[in-house]
Amino acid sequence: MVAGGTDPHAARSKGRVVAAIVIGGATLVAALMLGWPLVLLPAGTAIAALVVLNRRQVRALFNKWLWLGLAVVVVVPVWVIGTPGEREDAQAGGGLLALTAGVTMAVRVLTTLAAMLLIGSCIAPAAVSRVLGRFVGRDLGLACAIGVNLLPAILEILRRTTLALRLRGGFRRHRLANLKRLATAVGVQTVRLTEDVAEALLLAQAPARATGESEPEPQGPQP
Amino acid sequence: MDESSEPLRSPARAQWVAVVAVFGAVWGAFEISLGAFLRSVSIPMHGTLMTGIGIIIMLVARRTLSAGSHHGRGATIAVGVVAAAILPLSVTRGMHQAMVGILAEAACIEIALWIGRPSRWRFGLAGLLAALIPLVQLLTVMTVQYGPGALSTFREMLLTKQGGERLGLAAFTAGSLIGLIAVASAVFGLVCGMLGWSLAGQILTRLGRKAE
Repeated sequence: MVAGGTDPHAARSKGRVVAAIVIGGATLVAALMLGWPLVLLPAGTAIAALVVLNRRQVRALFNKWLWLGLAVVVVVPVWVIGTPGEREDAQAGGGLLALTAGVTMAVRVLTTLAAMLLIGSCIAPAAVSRVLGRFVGRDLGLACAIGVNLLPAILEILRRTTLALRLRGGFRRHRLANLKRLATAVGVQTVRLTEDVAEALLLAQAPARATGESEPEPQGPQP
Repeated sequence: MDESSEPLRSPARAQWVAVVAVFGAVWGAFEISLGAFLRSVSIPMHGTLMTGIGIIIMLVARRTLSAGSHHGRGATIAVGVVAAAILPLSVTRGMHQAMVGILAEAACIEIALWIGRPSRWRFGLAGLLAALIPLVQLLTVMTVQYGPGALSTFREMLLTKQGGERLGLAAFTAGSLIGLIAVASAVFGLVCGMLGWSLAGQILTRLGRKAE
C-alpha cells in the first residue's frame, strides 16, 4: 500500500524498473567475471528475472538465428583458441577444453542478451527518445547525411593543404612546426566549410521558413 | 507541430548541424583511411592513436561551437555518431569494435565537459578519460572471451604479439602492465586534450574570432 496519494501502479512500475536494472546489471557483471560452470548462475538468474518481470520478452531468446550464432560461438573456438599445438591436442582429445571455452562464451552472450532485454523492456522507449531528442538526437540524421556527402570535400582539403605545404619545403625541416601548420590550415579550412554548410542550410530552409507559422529565433550569429 | 520536423529556424541551429556534420566527416575520413590501414596491419596501440586524433577533432568542434552563440553541449557525442556512421564505408576487420569505441569516447568527452565552462584543463581531463577507452574496451572484450583468464591472456598477447618482450616488459605482471598502459594512455589523452584546446584557439584567432 502506498501512502500519501501516490499511484500504486506507478510505484509498482518504478519498483520493476529498479529491480530490472539491478538484476540486469549484476548478472551482466557476474557473467563477465565468472568462469565455467559458475557462469551458468547469472545466466539462469537473468533468464528467470526476465520470465518473472516481462514474460513476453522471453520469446526473443528463441530466435533461430540467435541459436545458430551461439552454435558458431561454441564451435569456432575449437579452431582458434590457444597455440597451434594446444589446438591440435584439444581437437585430438575431443576438443573438450576449447568446447568449454566456446560454451562459456555462448552463455555469456545469452546472459548479456537476457540482461539487455530485462533492462530494455522495463524502460519506456519514449523516455529514452525524449532524452536523446532533447540533447543530441535533433538534427542528427541531417548531420550524418551531410557528413557522408562531405567526405570528398574533406579529403580534397587534406590533399590540397598537404600539397601546399610540400611545395613550400615539405616536412624535410622543422617537422613539428610544419605539422602544427598543417593542422591549423586544415582546421581553418574545415571551420570555413562549416560556415558554408550552415549558410547553405539556412538558404535551403528559407522557403520553409517563409511559409511556416513560426517566427525565426532571434539568437545566433549573423553569417 | 513536432519540434524535430520543423525546419532549421536559427543560424545557431544550422551552425550546430554544420559543425557536427563537417567535424564528424573529418574524423570519419581519418578512421576510414589511416584507421583502416592501422587496423589492417595490427599496429600496437592503434586504437589509442586514433583516439588521440578523435579527441583533438571533437574538442576543436566543441570549442568552435562554444565561441559562437551555441553552448556546444551534445556536439561531441553527435560528432562521434556521425564518424561512427561513416565507418561502415570502409570494410576492414574490427570495424564494429571501432564504432563502439568511437561512441564511447565521444560519450566520455561529453560527460566530462557537460557541466561548467570549457578550459584548457577541462579539455585535458576530457582527453585523459577518453584515451582510457581503448584499454577498457580491449579488457572488456577479453574478459567476455576468456573470463578469469583474461589478465594472463592479455599479458601474453602484449609480450608476444605486440612486441612487449623486445621492450623489456617480460618482468612485469599483468596488473602492472595494465597500469603502465593506462598511465601512458592517460598522459597521451591529456596532451591531446590540451592540444585540441590550443589548436582551436589558433584556428579561431586565424579566423579573427574571439576565443573563449
